[in-house]
Amino acid sequence: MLIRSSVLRTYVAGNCSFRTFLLGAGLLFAVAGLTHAGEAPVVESVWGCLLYASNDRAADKMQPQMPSQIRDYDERLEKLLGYASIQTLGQGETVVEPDRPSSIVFHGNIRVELTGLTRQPGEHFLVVLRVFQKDRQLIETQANVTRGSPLFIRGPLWRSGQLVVAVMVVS
Amino acid sequence: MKTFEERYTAYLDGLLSESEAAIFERERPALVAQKVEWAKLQRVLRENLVSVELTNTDFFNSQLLQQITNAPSRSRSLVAGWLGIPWLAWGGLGAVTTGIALFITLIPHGDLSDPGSGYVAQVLKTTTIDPNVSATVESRKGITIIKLEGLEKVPADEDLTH
Repeated sequence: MLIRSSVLRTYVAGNCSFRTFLLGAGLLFAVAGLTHAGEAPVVESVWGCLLYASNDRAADKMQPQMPSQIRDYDERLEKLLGYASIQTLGQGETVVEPDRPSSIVFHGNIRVELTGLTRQPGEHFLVVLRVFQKDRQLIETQANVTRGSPLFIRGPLWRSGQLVVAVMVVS
Repeated sequence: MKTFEERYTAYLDGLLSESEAAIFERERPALVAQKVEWAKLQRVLRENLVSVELTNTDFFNSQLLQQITNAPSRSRSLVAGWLGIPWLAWGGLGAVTTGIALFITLIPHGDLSDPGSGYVAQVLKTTTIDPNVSATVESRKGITIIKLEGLEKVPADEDLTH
């Protein structure tokens, strides 16, 4: 076969071309492996907050507004809950380690316990979370979340509104 | 006023007048012997140095050209070794691959004007221990909420802020 292109001719005849090709392919696989790490336990920070949703405009001025982490969800949450204002009662962050439950505790002994955090393909996380009020478990749920996507749990009534817990993988 | 070098050169070449040469020799007597040696050298060179004509000029020229052609070119080997087209092609391919990999890993995807476009919070399973408590999952675009029903009301006097 007559090879006219000097580039192709050099490529075919070159001593290092195959090695370079293997090196490039190896790099590609390494990048793909890093970006699509398989299912594995991970150590991640999980942030959570306790919110109070109500129609009490007076309370609106007393309590801080939505935390910056979930400020974009303000309107959607109000619409979904049917309340006109949302205030923050408390927030916290914890590191979730493999095979060891971690908790975020709020005032009133309301607690979110996180366990079994595993990374899924595509930067998704599987996590099991339990919400406790005092020592009573209210709910256990398993969720598939991405980093920066909060999961909201509407809890018990309090005063003229309702308590809401938000949990989000942050790092 | 002539310098010494000018007078000396003119003296050796016999360009000084007799009186000037006499004065110069009086000033520097050692130069007389040098002039004699110089004249001797000139005579020997004239007698022995003759030009030689080559009988095989074409062969001589071809040999010379062949040596010039075979001499390794440093610039050409440098270009072929490091900056040749194959290396540039592989370098470009590597740069593009790296760029694509960085784009995939670092640049956020989805519609950036919509903050909920990258949102994923999928509830796979919910369990409540208390039979009076029920959980329903409500998912809208960009937000997921689990709604618990049947919970006891938290006393109003309980301070949840401190």
